[in-house]
Amino acid sequence: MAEIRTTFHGRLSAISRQTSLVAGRMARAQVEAASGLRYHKASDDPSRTTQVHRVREQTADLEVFIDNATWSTSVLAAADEAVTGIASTLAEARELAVQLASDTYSATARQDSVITAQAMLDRVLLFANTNLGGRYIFAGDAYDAEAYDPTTGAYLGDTGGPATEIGNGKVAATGFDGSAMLQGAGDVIVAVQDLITALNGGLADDVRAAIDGIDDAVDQLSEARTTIGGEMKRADDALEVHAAMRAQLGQLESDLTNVDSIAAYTRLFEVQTAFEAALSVTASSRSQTLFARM
Amino acid sequence: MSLLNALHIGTSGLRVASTGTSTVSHNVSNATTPGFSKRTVRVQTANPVERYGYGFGQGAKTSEIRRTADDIVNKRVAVATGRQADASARFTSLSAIEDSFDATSGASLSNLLDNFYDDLNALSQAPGDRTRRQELLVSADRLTEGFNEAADALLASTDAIDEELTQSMAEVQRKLDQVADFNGRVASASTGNGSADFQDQRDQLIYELAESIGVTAQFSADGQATLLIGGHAVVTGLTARTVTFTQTATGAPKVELSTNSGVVDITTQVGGRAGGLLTASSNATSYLADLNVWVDSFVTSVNAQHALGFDATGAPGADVFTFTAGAEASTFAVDAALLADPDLFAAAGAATAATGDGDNLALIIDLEGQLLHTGATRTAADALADIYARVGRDVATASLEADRYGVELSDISALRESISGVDLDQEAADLMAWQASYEAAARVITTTNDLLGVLMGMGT
Repeated sequence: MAEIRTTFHGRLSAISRQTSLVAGRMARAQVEAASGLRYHKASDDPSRTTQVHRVREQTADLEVFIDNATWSTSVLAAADEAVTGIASTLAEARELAVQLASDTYSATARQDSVITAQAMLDRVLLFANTNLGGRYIFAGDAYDAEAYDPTTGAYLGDTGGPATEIGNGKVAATGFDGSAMLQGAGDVIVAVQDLITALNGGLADDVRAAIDGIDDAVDQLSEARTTIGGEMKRADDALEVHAAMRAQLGQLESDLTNVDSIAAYTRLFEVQTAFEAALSVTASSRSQTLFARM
Repeated sequence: MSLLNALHIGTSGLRVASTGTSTVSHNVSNATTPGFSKRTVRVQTANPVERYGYGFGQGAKTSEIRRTADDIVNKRVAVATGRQADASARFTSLSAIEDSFDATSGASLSNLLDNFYDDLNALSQAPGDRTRRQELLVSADRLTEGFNEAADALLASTDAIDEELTQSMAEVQRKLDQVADFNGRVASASTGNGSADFQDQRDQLIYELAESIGVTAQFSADGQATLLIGGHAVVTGLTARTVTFTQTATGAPKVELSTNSGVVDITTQVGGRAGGLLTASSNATSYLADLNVWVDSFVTSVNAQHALGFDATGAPGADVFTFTAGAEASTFAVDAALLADPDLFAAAGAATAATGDGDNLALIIDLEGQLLHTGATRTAADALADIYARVGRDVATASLEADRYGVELSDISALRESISGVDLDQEAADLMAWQASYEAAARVITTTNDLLGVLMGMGT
């Protein structure tokens, strides 16, 4: 086998190239160990680029969806409280109506109770005008202003159903059309207003007739609570799913971009040792010529 | 034979030893000179003289000072140099372009797009909220600025490449002229160190030209080099042709060669660093074209959906984004009127809708998941990630090739060094041998002189 002829210049060049290569590997290992990342830019692993971008996009979307769903649950909780408050008031109104529908009460006694019924109407309107941070929940899309006239009880909102994005193509309610939710087949405001009118007239039959309106209003509220509950479940489900998904995406991004710390430090130790060895070889090669010994 | 002849023979030994010492000196002096090929002294016996039926030796003579080189290996060094320079230049330029895209920081185009859609989604909480609308417009503006910056960076990189190519071509031409000049000197020089030194200097120029523009060399029997770029001769004998850098009508970089039959476009055949830069420039132009197509698709879809909605005043939506055709990415901007008045964002689905209506906003948000890019096969985010991936692939490929050709160049350079390099240990040993040879020859002369002295002193 022919012997390869080597020269001093050739040896130093080879050592220099090898030292340079090791230095490059060491720089890379240092960056990985320091940053904890093996994917810094697309050229680090082009085949993963689309996946990494998708995971990051999805993670960013999730943050907003979680924020939106949280906002939705706050609005829905306030709506539920308001409807519960109205239902409670209607129960009191029905109790009053049943009591005063009895023939044992005089017309005067009924008329004296108007003030109590009026207070109930005020409470119903107060609940119907519930707002969260200045946002009127039952005003539809016109949520910047009161849903109902506090004096006449007239609906001031619109028929829109505000909703916020809680997932791709999925929304949850952030408000309701009060004219549909509180004033559908049964009208919670008119029911109390009719009771007041009946009490004012002093006739037991009129008061009995008002009870039917209150019952319809209670049924209407039951539907409203079902609707709010459904929306609440949708928002809660979204929160639960997104929280789980966020954890999974975090793990996936970590798998895609993060370095195995133990492997990274081991690699760094290896290349540092190799670099030091290369420097020693360079230093010791300097005097390895016959001229140096002549 | 006479004693005087012995003096001549001793002198021939001195001459050979002097030549050997001189050659060692030349080799050692050039041990690190790029392109130098070590010289070897070839000594042969001087022709004998026939006297009295015997052949009397006449000492030694230097028959040749050989330049130790292998033209095939040298040609391979030039080819490997060109390939490595091509890949390295491509890697360096494309890495800088990739850095300007800044894929991991919050300023990357993908993150800016995410922020825009995040703010659209956040606006769905309160479509009429002026503060949220303002935030949306800020992120929209930042998105357009990101594209402007990316486009500017790509244009700046192609400008920088054009400038470097313009400057390097003058240097390339100077070296081509020098090679032609050295061809003449090699042809006319006598054999020995003179011709060899011209060959070394010329070969070093060939390596430098291979690195600059990817020339390959062919050597004729008389030692002259013909340089080629692709299949086109750029130096033949004493003639160097003119290579110029120019631009096409569309501004694309172009390298031309003046030949006897006219000007030839050799852009695609140029190698070396210039070839790598030309490829990087072409890639940068292609990335910019991709960004332009992306902006066109994105703006068209968003504006079309926005036009179907109504702003806070009940008027139909005007354009959200604007651009100038042909320079989409660099002129991508949020409509100035909208930027000045967030109420002009058409979130509502009806002219008479209340401020909280976000029916059209929901449809604009839906665009995020729709396949509206790359021939209706990719979402906006995926299409953008595809551009990143393409840049990443090009950088990774250039990096791999730079490494591979670097190893190839190292190997072939080591082979050249093993053939033509100066081994200082060998030279030291040779120096000792020549020194001993010189001392021995000198001793022959002094001894002969002593003998002559004895002879001439007889009878006195």
